[in-house]
Amino acid sequence: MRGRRLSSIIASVTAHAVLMAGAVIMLTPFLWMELTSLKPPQEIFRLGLHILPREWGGAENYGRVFSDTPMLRFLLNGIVVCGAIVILQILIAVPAAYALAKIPFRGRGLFFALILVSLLVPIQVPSLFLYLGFARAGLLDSYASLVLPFIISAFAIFLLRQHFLQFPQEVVEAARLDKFGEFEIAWRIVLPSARPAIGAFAVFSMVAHWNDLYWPLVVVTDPEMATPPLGVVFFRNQESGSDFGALMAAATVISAPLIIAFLAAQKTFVRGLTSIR
Amino acid sequence: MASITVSDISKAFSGQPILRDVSLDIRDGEFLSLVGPSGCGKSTLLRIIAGLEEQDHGSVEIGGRSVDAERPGRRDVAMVFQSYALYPHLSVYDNMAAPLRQRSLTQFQRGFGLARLLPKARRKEAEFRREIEATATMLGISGLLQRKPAQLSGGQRQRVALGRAIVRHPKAFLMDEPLSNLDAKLRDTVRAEISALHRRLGATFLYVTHDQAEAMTMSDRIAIIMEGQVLQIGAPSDVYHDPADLRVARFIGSPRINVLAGEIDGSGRAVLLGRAFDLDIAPPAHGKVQLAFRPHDAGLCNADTAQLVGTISHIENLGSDILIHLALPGSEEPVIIRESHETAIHRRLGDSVGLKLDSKKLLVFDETTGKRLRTPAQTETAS
Repeated sequence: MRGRRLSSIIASVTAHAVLMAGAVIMLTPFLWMELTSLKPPQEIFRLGLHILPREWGGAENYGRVFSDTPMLRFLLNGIVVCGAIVILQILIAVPAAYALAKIPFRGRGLFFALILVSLLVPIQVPSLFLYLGFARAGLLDSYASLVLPFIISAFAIFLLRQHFLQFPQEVVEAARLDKFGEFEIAWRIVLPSARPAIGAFAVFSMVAHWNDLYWPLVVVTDPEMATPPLGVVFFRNQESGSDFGALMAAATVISAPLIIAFLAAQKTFVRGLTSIR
Repeated sequence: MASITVSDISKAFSGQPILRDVSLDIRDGEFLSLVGPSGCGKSTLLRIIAGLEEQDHGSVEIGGRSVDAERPGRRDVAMVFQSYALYPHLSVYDNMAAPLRQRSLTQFQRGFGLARLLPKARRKEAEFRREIEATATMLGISGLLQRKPAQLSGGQRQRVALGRAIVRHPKAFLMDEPLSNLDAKLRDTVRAEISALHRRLGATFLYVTHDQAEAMTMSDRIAIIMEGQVLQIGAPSDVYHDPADLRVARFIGSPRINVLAGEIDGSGRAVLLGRAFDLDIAPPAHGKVQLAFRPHDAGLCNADTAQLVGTISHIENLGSDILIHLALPGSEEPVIIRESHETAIHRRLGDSVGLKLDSKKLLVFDETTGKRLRTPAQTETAS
């Protein structure tokens, strides 16, 4: 009895130690970024490792971020673009996933296979064609060019389909007998049970598109239209080639909204992830 | 309220025939049970009537009008599912309100909660509330209206599912094994309640079950379905006492009917289990037959005077009656005889006793087709 308890303690300690080591590896760059953002320039390049800043350069660094760049504009662009992407992705994925999960039709398997295949195709593959298309349509440097390529998310359709599959078929049939239309069934009967999945997907998608640099770099040249990461790139090129304190401050500012959002929705997020089977 | 007519329905799933040319007439206000072993196609038939499944062939009429081209929602029938199929995120009240709202509110009024505050919608909502509260009181669930389905017991969910069907006054109620997820005690209660509900509403009920006792106790008529075909339709006493097919005779009744293989000749002599036997029946045919009799239609007698003798292999005491299992040499299954307590109490396992058959109550079936061969006397009473 005592032996078993001891071994379970050892197992638990080992597990926690491994997880903590992982957490430290993940968090160190973040922490380093934040500490650097608080240091004055001369201290960043000083030889030798010291963790806490000796002199505080934080005010100056953060001040530069907001005075030298339209940082608020970047953040607003980020919110508009990511918000639009996520909302449109869900608007399109819910009916598509519902049809794939609950409505038998000819070619359903083929459609689903195509969606799975398209999961494997990165944005870099069609980007040239998309760029040419937007250029021809005169839509470069616009929200449309930032949003439209992403509104159909194969991942969202796949994820929601898996969730909808588990929804009892008899409830869908009861709704049909109660005179619900198929769209109403998808949105008002089936979707509420998939809320955690929607939440988890929204976080994933939000993070991916908030942090995306590749696509904004392709279609945006006007700083007015820049998303936060692209804004930081512009900032580095124009203003502060080697002012790493200010750059780290900018990086901290643009990652802050995500971290705050994650902390606020942590429970839903974890529930959504663990409920995916 | 409406009658339902099903004509020549056939259905196959991936080449496997489930229903073959099924025709049924369900009268207005009737309680008809579809009963049969699992996989016989009875649920599929119900789902075809509801419009949830499309038939390969044949047509369905509800209230004298063909509904083959209509979606389930427009057929105006309510269905109670085995799993109850309540909307999991809605309260009991909203579950019961859903069919009413879907039928009489506009898309706009349904889609936006705020639109329900507009005067027109509010008047309708007040109507719904009266209807729902009256139904909930009738079913004894008025205290549960604010609960979610997950917070209810099986019996309560069952009632909510019934309530959701009742509030909208459908043309017919279709019930797909609604009691099979309840425990035995509750099942008896709800069984009586559904019967009472049928009398009270006077609506057409179509009830699917694999439990012949349920069908016998609740129905006006029973349709026995096996292997995708209707073998017999009739009142419970008809299918019990006057089965048209050996499979019906075997399926209906508990304890099961006794069946012995035999042969009859033109003069009314039968050979049962290798013994010549005098039967006072004018046989409808001669040759190999199956002879069947209910456990209460035969008796036991002294072994010395009997033509068929067996040994008691098992005794089941039901309290009121006692079932004696009699092993007959040459018969694989034991014959079961129902005896009263007084006569059976002295019987012991291993006793040798005689079997006394009442030839008037013997049911004769063709050995190959299983169809009933009525003796002239039986044909008279049946017609």
